[in-house]
Amino acid sequence: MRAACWMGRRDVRVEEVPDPRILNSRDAIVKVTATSICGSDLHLYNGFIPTMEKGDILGHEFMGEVVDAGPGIDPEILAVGDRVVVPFPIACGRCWMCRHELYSCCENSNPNAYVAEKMLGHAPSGQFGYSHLTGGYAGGQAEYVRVPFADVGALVVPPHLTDEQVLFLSDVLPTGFMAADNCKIQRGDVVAVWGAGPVGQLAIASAKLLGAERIIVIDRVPFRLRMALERAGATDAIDYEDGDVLERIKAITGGRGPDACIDAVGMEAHGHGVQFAYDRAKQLARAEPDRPLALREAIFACRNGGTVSVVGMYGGAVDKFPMNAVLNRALTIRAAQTPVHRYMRPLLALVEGGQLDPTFIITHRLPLAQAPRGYDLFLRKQDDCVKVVLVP
Amino acid sequence: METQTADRRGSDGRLSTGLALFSFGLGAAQLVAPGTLGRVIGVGAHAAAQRTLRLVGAREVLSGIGLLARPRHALPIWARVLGDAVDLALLGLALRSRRRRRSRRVYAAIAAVAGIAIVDAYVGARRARRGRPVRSVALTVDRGPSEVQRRFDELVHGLPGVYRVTYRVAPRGRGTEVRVDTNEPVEYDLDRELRQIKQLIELGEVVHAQPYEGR
Repeated sequence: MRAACWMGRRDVRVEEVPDPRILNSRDAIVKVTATSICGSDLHLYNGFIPTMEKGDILGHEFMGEVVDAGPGIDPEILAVGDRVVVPFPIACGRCWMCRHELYSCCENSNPNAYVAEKMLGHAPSGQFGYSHLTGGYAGGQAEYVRVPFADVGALVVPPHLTDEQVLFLSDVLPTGFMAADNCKIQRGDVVAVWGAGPVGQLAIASAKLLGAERIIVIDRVPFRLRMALERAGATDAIDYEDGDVLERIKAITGGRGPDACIDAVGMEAHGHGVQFAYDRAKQLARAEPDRPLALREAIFACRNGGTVSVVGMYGGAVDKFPMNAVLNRALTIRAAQTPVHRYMRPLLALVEGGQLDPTFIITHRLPLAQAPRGYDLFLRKQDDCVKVVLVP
Repeated sequence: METQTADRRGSDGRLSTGLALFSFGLGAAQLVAPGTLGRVIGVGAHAAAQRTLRLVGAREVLSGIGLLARPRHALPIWARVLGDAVDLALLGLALRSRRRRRSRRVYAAIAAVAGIAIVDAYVGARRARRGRPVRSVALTVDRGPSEVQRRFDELVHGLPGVYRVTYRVAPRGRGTEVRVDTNEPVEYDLDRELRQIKQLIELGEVVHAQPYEGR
């Protein structure tokens, strides 16, 4: 089969690789009908996530048709021919973490847990196509993919919904929704969102759905800011190239700051001045993988007693973290790799009911063979690129 | 409730203490009466031989102190083995320059030092294997203690370095805590093996992540 493989920094190639096969009793093989490039894939693309190996198959947002199912799968739950969307964390569904809906912390799905523990303290779950720290599982930017614990993960989707309507249930929609959900939004709240990429856009849409009255978006790409205002539901847009962000947020919020701040940027934030130069230099010297400018700004901007919700991806021990601000101003920080399984059904209902339509983020549809071009477009934000869907 | 099975820790304490006392005795003799000792082992009592024996004696005393000060570490014992090699080399040099009458004594001394070297190496190897600080790998299995203990007792045998397994009921009905103590440098393998046992108990099979696993 053909698959998009990571071959090194900024080097993705569509290669001929062996077909996946059933290895565990609750595996399914899915023939991929749609897959997409996630913003977090760009961190892999840029070589900032450790433990990638040449030839690793990328992709953790995908959906398709079940073409084979292991003997441990109850056919009442999942059967050959079902059309499914698959969450990016791999979860066994039976361990203590899974039984408490902490699916992205599953204790049994990450065979490289030991390595992850050395880096993170404890290990997260396995994930599709996201380094060997999360198990080294083959990803879904391919013609076929093996889905472990498919009876827990793969969600059967109704035939009247298109692939594009449900594809993002695999990651960016639940992630954007969780970002807003973690803010414990009350009707009338003010929420600020750093990053107007796919997750940021869907976090804005979710915050609006959950009752936020004023939603401020911070980015530097004009068409993304426009999309946030016109399609996602943001009320105010700040282009950080135009001047001091904190000052402008204060101006918009009567000096108090937003009730909640969402970091949908993560480790590769851009910015200006000494702080950015310092972070960039450390990153170039491989002394630290993260440039946490958006996170620092979100902490500074947030009102006293407010919540900072982090869904942007980080790769190491963040430097110059303003813990004094967190402590003195009674901030709450919430973060997670999204336990997607928990959010899939409620979000499917919202998509089905028409309250949430995530398809507005799609700007590019390409055949899988053009995955390298998709990565390049997305990285450079060329051609007003926000989200690339690949069709095998 | 806490139960234990499989305590397989050994002790080389007495042998180490014996070696330390031997070091002190030999070192003292070399420092106090190098001339007499030189004649006994056939290297003579001339000034150069006495100087060399005093130096060797000082080293012996230091090595005795090292053995007692770091009873669980392999380094002092390997320092002794190195010293034995130096002694054998010195005796070899003496053999080349001695008259035949004395060389029988030198041969006897070489045999004695070689014997001690073998004992030192044996203790060193034991310390290297068993003398490391104890490490433990702990995990919680989402099942009752009797099932967990039964399955672990079946499967944990044969894992290298495991000398003690402790089971305890986890708080708030969260299953059973298993702690495996080891003094082998195989934490990674042990960790993976134990996780696989947990997978066998909780899922009925070991989870694979091929095509990459084991590559």
